Amino acid sequence: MNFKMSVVVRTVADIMIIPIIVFGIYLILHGHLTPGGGFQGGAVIASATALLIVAWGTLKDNKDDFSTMESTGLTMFFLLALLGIIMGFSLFYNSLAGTGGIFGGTVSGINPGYINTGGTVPLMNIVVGLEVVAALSLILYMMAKRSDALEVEE
Amino acid sequence: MNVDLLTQSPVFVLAIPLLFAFLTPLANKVSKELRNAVFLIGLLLTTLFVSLMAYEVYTMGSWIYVFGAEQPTTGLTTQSFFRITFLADGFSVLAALTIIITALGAGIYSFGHMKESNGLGKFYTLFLLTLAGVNGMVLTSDLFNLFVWFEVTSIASCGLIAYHNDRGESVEAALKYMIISVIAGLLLLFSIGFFYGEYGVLNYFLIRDSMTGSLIDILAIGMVMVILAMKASSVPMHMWAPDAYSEAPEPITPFIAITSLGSLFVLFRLLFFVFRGAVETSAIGSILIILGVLSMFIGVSMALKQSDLKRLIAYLSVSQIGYMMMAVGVGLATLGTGDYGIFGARAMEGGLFHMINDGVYKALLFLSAGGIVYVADTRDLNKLGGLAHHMPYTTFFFIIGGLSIAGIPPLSGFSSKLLIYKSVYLYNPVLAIIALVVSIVTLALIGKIFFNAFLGPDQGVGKKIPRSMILAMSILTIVVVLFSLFPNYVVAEIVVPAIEGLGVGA
Repeated sequence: MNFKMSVVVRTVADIMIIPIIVFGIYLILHGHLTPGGGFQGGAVIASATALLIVAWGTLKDNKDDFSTMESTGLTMFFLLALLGIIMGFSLFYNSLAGTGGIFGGTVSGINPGYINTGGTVPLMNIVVGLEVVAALSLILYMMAKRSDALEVEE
Repeated sequence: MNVDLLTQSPVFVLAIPLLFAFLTPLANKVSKELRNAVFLIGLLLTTLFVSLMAYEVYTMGSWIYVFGAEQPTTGLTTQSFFRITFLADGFSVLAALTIIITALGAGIYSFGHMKESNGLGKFYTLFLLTLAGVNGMVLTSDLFNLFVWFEVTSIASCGLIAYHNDRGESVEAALKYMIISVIAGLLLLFSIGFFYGEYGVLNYFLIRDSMTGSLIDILAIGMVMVILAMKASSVPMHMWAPDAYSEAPEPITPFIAITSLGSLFVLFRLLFFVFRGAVETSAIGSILIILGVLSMFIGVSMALKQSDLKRLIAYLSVSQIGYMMMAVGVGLATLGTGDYGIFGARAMEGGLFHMINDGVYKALLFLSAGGIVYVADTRDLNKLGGLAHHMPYTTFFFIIGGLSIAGIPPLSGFSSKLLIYKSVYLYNPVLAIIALVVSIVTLALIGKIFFNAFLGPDQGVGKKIPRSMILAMSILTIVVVLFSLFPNYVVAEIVVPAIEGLGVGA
């Protein structure tokens, strides 16, 4: 069965996923500065998957990649939380804030928008983004597949 | 860089199952053996950290673990009152021990029992998530955090109940469980909103200190009680339990029972630790007693007419929940009066001792029933028979579990039930008589299962019980026997610190 939409829709969808993914990455990376964050950005990126599924009818079977990505994101989130304990503090303690290096910059007073701050918070946003992209895409994929199967049965 | 594992132990009790739940699907992509190894390591590490926490609580006393603080033991300050906290005290240890013993049994059991099923990567993930959820529920001392773990437990165990999704009954049971859980979860959130709106705090300690006992408080407390009693499968909110218990995969059944027990632990924690100062304890105690007596009596009467093995044990489990609610209800009702020192504290001891006892012997009973189902491939008591010829070990384990649930003297169920009878008799003799009658009927029902399933002519069976199932049941049997041999020690070393943790030590 083929649920492909017209060539116009497919071409526009192919082009549109680029700004959608870029906007999603922007939301994820600025999670500690502006409204948004890992979950919201991840959901935005997953909407690109939804667009592709609608336009192309179905996607190729990459369920395994998505579930690996999901578990990896969750595991890394937890390892970041455990970092607080490993450094000698408590779980979820922000042990990277203000220590230099990536996301370790310091600001005095109100942060005017320096992205290189926040310690573990932006890192956690990134791994949560990874997890949400994978999980929502997996759900969309399963739903698309199931409706596909029902159509065939009729 | 020095990590104090003892102080950090409560958070590891939660973190290890969570971490390994996420590692299991990754390991599953490599090989089956690695996945099983990861799962087993997760369980064993959790056990280790529960023991570390128990050791620290019993030697050094209780402490509050603050998440995200520079040092976990700094306590709550005016700047950090919003932080999530865990409470490590005798009561948390009692709950965590009950949970981990059952989880260990159920986990090892599932290696053999689920060997031929597929989708096991997700099965073990959900198993560890449920474990993390229940551990979080009993350890947390923050109302919103409680809601989060409540939902984690509900969703994960719902997936486990629906595991055999080729059978309509399993899906129906899971749907029922999901509807109940979602309603309970939303009502819990609603009542937490009441507290937050009124006091602007969520921490148990801060709510306890600021609680005034206004009408809104009473409404919220009522809702919390109904929700947790519902999840604990107390009559009249027990309708989901027999379906969920009997349709879940056999290794999971004791685990669903332990989520019920976990809810009961949370209910007692909230009533004694948080709400005690603001409510009429005698009224709340009487409500618990009424719910308890109803659960005991209706549970066991419904069990009488069952011919399905697992449904019968599920109803027995509902009736056992009644004992704990009644005993702790008597403790709560006499709180603050002179009677508490005379028999109220004994009733509390009996009730809490019965909780850890019940968690273990009920798991043993469910697992040996699972062995029967595994070998004979039917749950219908009228079709079973002659299994003692094929499974001598399981027969023995079933006798230990069955006699313990019926409260027959040398076994652990007797010790806790005797404490309950003696103390409840002084409160009101009728309660003790009902409890005794229920015990006798329970014994009759255990006899019915025993005669139907194990005795009689050999009918021949196809399968042999795998060794890991025997191992799991022997672990639980050893715990039951230890509790039976040293009831005084258990009460003095585990149950009394738990009562002190609730702040009502005699």
